[in-house]
Amino acid sequence: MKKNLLTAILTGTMLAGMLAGCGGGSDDTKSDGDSSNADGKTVVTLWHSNVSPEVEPFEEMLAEFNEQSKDVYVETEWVAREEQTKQLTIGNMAGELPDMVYVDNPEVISYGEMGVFQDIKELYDAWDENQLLESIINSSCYDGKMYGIPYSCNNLELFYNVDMFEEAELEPPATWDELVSCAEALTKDGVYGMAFSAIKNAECTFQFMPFLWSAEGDWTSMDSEESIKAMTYYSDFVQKKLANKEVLNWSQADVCKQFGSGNCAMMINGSWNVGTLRNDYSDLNFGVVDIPIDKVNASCLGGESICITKDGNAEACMEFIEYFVGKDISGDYTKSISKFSPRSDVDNDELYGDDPVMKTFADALSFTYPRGPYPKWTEVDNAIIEACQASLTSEKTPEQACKDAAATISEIQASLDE
Amino acid sequence: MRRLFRNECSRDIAYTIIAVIIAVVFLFPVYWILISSLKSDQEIFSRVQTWWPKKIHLENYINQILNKTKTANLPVQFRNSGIIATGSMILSLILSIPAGYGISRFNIPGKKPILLTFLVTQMLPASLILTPLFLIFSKAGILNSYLAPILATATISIPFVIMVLRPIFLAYPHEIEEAALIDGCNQFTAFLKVTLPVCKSGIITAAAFSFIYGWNDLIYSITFNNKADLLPMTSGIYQFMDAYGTQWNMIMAYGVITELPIIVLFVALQKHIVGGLAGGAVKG
Amino acid sequence: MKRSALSVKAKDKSLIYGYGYVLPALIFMLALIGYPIIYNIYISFLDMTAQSIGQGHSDYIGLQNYITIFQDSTMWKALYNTFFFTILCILFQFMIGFGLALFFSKKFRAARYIKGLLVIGYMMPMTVNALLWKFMLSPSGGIINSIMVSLHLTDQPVEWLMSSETVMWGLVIANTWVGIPFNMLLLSTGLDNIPADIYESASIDGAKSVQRFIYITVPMIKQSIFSVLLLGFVYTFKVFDLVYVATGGGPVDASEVLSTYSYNLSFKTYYFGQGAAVANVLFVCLFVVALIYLAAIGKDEVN
Repeated sequence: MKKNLLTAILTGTMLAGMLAGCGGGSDDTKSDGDSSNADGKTVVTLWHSNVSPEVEPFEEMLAEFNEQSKDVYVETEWVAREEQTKQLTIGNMAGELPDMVYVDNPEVISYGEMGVFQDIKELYDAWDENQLLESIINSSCYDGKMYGIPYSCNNLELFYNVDMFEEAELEPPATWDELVSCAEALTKDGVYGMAFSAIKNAECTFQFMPFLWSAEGDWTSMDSEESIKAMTYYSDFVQKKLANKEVLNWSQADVCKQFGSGNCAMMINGSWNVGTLRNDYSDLNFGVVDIPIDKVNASCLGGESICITKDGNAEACMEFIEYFVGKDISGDYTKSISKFSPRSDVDNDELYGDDPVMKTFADALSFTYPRGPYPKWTEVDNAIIEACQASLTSEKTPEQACKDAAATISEIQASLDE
Repeated sequence: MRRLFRNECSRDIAYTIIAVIIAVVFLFPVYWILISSLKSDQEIFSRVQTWWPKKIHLENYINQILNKTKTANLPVQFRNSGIIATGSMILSLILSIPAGYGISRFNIPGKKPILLTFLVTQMLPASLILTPLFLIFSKAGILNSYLAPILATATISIPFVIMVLRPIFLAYPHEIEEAALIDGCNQFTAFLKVTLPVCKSGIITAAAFSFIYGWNDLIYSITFNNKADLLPMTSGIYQFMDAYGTQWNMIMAYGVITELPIIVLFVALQKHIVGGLAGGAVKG
Repeated sequence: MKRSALSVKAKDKSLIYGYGYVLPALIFMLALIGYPIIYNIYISFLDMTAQSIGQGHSDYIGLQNYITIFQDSTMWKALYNTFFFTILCILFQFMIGFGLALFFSKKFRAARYIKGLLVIGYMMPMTVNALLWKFMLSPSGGIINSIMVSLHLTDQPVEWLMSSETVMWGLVIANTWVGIPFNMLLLSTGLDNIPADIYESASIDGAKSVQRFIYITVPMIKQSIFSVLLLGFVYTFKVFDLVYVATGGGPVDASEVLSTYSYNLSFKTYYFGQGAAVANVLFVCLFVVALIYLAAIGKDEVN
């Protein structure tokens, strides 16, 4: 009896294994067919990391493109954002790259200089609808070369819980001092006044930069008085318990959840969260203002570019990019995902005229700056993240953290000069 | 005689009570994952945790099974996990049972270096072999297939199974086998027909462990496969976190589904695993 | 004369069988592990980065990668953390696991069933465990802190994974919970293999339970104890999934261990050469333990 059971299990698992072998094999051959599909269209693959609620408009747009294009068919593969840089690096080593990739803008140059992406400057110049904003295009350009075309951009602002502010009879803050006094007044009964993301990845730097720039500090001078002041101000939210120490673990999506659940009264976050809050927390009464300032207004540029990989079919890819970033699609598409078009001929005033919240974000684009562009941004990014986390956890004083970051960054620069 | 029986009985009850208390404390995290997976967003993020969900939210499961989030395609990933774990288990059993037997039964020259090799291979952290393996698999053209994670996870379970089985085969009385040899079996058939059935409790343990290693793998699958329809459950949960932040209720629901087949398998095979060789040989 | 010829033949045959059983597994492991190890040693002498791979050539730089990593304070922290983590985990999970194994070796009807239940934690994917413990150890709304506060063990929630002082302890707790059933199960197998008549003869001799434990139980399951400690050391020392998923080595680098440090160097900053060097340090540490173990079981086998 027992022996029969064992035999049955082993036989069953072996059968399953054989099926598995077949399944794996057939998938493999399917993916190797690189050039064309049954309709005779050229097939190109695109890696993206869109998630709901952004993935639905994306799929719709893609289906429309594939429908109307005579020559090109775009296949997609979803790659988790965190995994993407790794997949790119390894894929580059193994020659297993897709034709196109969505890449977070500060990383475009790093991979471009690494030789992963093509220089598409000529193709871009030849495109008749290439009216993109210079400031945004710059994030994908280095040394006269162009490694990607931005398709959407976004920035950060301060979200506040209108009901909490009304109850406490407060006005939304405009300066650093006002921000702290609002946070102090609203931190009670387990609710924290302030929240931001300081997770150990690019989101931490992204959210710290507005503070750094507002004090007129910069990543190139992390040990300056201004930079240290910004770091001190930023880490004091946690030191004074005006922000939950869990910000060290929170991604921007987590911060949005906390805000949506009423666990914090204010948060720094990006425009795409407007969509999430409206969908998932329809009862929440929230407003958006410019990030309070020390000396100057500043926000940080987010968004992704489409890059064509070194062996990608550039012409076929460009047809898709020209459609996707072109005049007819770009404005409405980016609006549907609560982000902004990089096109200079898209009128955001008109597009967001009826939406004061999104309008605030759109207006802030005039003082939104990119990280870099710098060929070793990933390393600089790590140095800044380390400084932020070290100050937030009190492992180092803000001053020491900034000085260490400055030393690391100058080493990175030195290695680049070699 | 009667009194002895009563003592025996009350001792049994006392031990059982203690055992239940141990189990309740020890398995609390398992209770917690289950309970949290049934809570609403608001309840999970509330500052005071509840011991029982105010309302049972099965949609945490349903939405994921129906792939409403469009990232982690749970049914597909469940199948992928099954394929990888089963393949890895079969491969490692076929290779490691004979090896574990051979190394304990025969006094072959070079036994020590061979044992050392298995020991050493088992000690390797995944990050040590990740890059080289990727390059090998790339040359062999088996990236983006089930085979790559199956081969890689088998490298974890093979040495483990050998080390688990070695003491069992060592303790196994060879006289039984010799009797079979006298009866006209050759060495290999004696191994298959006599030794293996006697040691089956150990083999089932080995099978269970190698299945688990395959099922639980994260790093190999996400490194060797970048096609979403080949990724297993463990990567699904990871991607979900990446995409939507720490939605604990959803993550815990995903975790429960990830564990489910292993728990079913283990409960079904539990007595084989805990039985042990010596008892089986004496009784059987 | 005839007799000795026969035994030589039998010996040859047993050699063929012995190698026949062992070789397939050995070849498999050498191909998929042996080559990567050598390749990895080679990488550790190269200035291999994502850039250099892109250009198709990496310079040979001798021991420079090793010099660089040992000049980095994170390396020393990772070394310290790895040993701290391993020693504490093994201590706790072996003691508790052994205690449970002894308890469940008592003959009562529910023993087997309940013991089986306890193993659930070990079977759960480490990814799930890491997330579950991250959730339970959270300072805001985490159940562990809720319980500790309500029992007045602490006034303020402990920050666990959030603070550089407590993060390693948080990870030790999570990993111990996973490791206990593993220790218990393997030691149980050893205990079950002790023939009951040995204990019977000992009780006739009037041995007390403590004496029986020290002079009978422990020596009888010495092999299991060695296996459990060695395997425990190996699996704990190369911990990756737990740290990677629960803390990512943070806050800052407070919970960086050798495997995550190596991984981060290779796959976050793409210094493959330095990542390989750290992995080799990890490897050497484990290798030394393997030698100790082999020396021990080698002596055992002579008897």
